[in-house]
Amino acid sequence: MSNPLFDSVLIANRGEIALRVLRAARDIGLRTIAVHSQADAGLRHVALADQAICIGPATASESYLNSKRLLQAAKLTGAGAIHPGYGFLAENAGFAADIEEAGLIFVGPRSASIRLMGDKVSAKQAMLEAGVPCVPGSPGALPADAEQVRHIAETCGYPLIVKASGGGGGRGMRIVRTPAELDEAVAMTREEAGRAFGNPEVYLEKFLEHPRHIEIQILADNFGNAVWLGERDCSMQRRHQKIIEESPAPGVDRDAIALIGERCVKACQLIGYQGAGTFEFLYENGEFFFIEMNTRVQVEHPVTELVTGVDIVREQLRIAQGFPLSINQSQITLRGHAIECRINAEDPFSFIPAPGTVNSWLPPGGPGIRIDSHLYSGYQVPPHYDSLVAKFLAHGATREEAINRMAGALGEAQLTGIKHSIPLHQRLMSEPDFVEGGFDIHHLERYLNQDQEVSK
Amino acid sequence: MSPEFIEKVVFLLQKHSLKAFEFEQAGAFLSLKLDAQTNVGSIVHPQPVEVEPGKFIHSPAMGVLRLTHPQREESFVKLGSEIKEGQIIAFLQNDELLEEIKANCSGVLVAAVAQEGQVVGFAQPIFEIR
Repeated sequence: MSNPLFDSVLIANRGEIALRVLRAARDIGLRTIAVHSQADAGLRHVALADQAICIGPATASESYLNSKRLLQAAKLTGAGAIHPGYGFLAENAGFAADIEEAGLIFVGPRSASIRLMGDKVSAKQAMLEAGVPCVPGSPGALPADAEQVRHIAETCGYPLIVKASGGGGGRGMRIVRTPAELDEAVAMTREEAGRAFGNPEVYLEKFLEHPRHIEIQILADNFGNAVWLGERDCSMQRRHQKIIEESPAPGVDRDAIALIGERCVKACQLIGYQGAGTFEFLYENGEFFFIEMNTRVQVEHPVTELVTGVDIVREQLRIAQGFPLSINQSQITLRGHAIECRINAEDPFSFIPAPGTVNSWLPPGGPGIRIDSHLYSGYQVPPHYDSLVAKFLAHGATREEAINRMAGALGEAQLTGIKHSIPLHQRLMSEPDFVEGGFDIHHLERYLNQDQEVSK
Repeated sequence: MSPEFIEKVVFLLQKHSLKAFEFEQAGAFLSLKLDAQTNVGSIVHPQPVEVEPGKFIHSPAMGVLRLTHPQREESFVKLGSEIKEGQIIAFLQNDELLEEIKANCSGVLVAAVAQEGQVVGFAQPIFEIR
């Protein structure tokens, strides 16, 4: 492969990730094109891009979520490729297909891969074929015959959860801890589901009480090469939103992770996956259960970049340009420990978004510190989009060193004019369970609830 | 067209109680309008002109700016000319498609802020109008 498939890239995103993509693109000599909404003319990457164009009003549906306008901008600016970042249209198979159809390059997997992995049922099937473990459960709706249901439940194991096929958002489900409770739970959930959702179909799945969230980063090129770049532990969450991520996952058997990593690589090759991607797992009692795949670069990708030394966004762009991976599996080792704290423009304890004008911003620095942020003094955080304004990353030889460096960086940072989550992270860096590591995905909510009880 | 020249014009306008002045030379265009409230007698040292802030005609979408219709030679509007609200003043080109840019208010075109053939974005100012 001698000639790259493109020499210019349009960044179809905003904020810190747009700046991250711009830097990677600039580093490999690509012409960069920024698109922005009317509310975002002051973004840092807009000022740095070779060309910038306003594509629409602040409303995301008329700007960053508008496939037609993004393609129009690509055409007008002569962009050869479009990088979707994360969020917005990054996992929209229709957008990727539109780009393919327009004869441009989508920096990511083919639209067919996005579609396959975007559907829970087909994704799970593809993973099982590749030998990736999934949450055990009934293959589809439970049969009417109680004996058969009991058999399925035995195979799956207790505790389990009975869920309504038409339910969602925590409604229409019942936890079953012993075989004696099964018949009644299934009957009641069916009856409720019929009344509430007009669909009495129910299925069952193994119920995980204290899972951790562990994910595997992969990269795959267009020549059938794929690698896994270690894991990230993202168990510090609030309402399914990750707050802190780290690598490696504390206290997890390295051989078990390697086995899962290899299966993920196999899955990529099986489905013909191209680009960067993440396989997300729940981890409990030494076992991994696949939940979903993210077919894009993730917010927390720099954690992996720090421990592996691989520039994931640069690799993404090179893969899209038609080059083979610049690294092979034997070259990938995890060095030290990295932690990321997501800094949001919000009240640190009530989590209410707090847009506004930044009076002053002095990012921290020093050995092992990396700050990915589009902030500057005078920047106005608009109310229209996600509240993430900075990612603080700390890398150290050990987890302890990484935590110490992070605590130092959080204390050193100066960010005034807006409310932000630095104070929450400062507390978490010395919270005993965090310091020990290995907490589950409900830990932060339990901790915050306790806190509320105490302050009452 | 030096600042001294503009100051002199303003002074003369005030002296003779004139309200507006327009001047064109070598592609440059100057339009001055004096505030009605200006107290003529009290001004001893003429201040640099404080013209009322201009209104802008913005592009309604993205496209390549066409100040001249591809099939004609003359541009739609000339600087210094009076335009009416709703009047077509330029086109946006996307491939073969031409989209009209209409004036959103009446006034005098005082400046072109975007050039013929330039790629313009959504809501980008095209003309200044007074």
